[in-house]
Amino acid sequence: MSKNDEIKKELEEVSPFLANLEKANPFKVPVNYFDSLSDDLASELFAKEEQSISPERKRSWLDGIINNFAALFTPRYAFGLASLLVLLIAGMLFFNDSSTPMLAMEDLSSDEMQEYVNNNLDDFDEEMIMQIAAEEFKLDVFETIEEKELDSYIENFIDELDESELEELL
Amino acid sequence: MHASVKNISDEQILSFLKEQKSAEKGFRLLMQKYQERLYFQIRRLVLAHDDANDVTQNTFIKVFRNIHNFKGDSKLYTWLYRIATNEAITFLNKKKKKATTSLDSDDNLLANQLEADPYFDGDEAQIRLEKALTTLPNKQRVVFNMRYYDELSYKEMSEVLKTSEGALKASYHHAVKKIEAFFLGRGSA
Repeated sequence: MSKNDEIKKELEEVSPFLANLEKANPFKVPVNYFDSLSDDLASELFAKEEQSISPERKRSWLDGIINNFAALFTPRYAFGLASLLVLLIAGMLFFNDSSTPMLAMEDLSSDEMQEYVNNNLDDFDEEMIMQIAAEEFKLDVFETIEEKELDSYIENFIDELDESELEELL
Repeated sequence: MHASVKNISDEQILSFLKEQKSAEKGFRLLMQKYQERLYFQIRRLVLAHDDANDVTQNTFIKVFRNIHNFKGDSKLYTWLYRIATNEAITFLNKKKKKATTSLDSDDNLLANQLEADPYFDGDEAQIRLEKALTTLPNKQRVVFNMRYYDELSYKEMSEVLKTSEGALKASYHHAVKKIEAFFLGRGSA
């Protein structure tokens, strides 16, 4: 049995109704469609392929950088670039001015430092002061105190308090 | 199809395609040999001529760009058939997504398109058959078309669709029953 006969027999078994339906191709195409399809597509495709490998169209990354840099000197960007340069130079002159008096910590007396701290105490919160003290005296404030030591300190502290001081605290 | 193209073997076309200087010649020969078969295979899925034209062109461009991936494990036409089928299904899925945002359902869209297409001149039974087909899932339509119109064996279909012969046979029988039910008014296919 040929392949076509086999397919027909199978369809008759599954659906006699469909097997009796006339099989035709109702789809049409414009006149000369297939004559021009390959020519049109090949011309279009190979024109694109040629363009994509054409050396004029291939730009290296260096060309891109040079072109972008050159664009900075066009009238459109020149004013902005000039303003930026003036600001940069002014900033460098201001911050590098060696005549500006700079106070070193060594030049201050301990009274002056104390006065500064007292006047600006609000700027230092508790945590900040403890951190600075720990760094200054190389202390690990909480990590070095063990729980037992802390308990005995509190007990001694309470023992040393007289009744009136204890009442005040409570 | 050009008469002389029939005599050119797939091996000759492939050797032209793989050489840069003869690639264009190979591409033209490939199209002349297979464009008609592929076009109608695509057309039966997408129905409208303009859509079939787009999908056919995309198929050949894809074939050309991926020709180095063809290892000769199957026949050239089997490989082309697979690419064309995938392109058509991708197209239909995109169209379905667009249709879900409009008031017209996908099935109605395809069926209405068919009646408005100046390049469709089927009789009433053929229009009804095509309408029944539009209600099948895309893959089931592909299976039905391969067996009913293209008269492929289940082995050939299995090579194209990478599905077992048993599953394809079941799918075809199921599609035939649905189409029959649509014709006889026992369901919406």
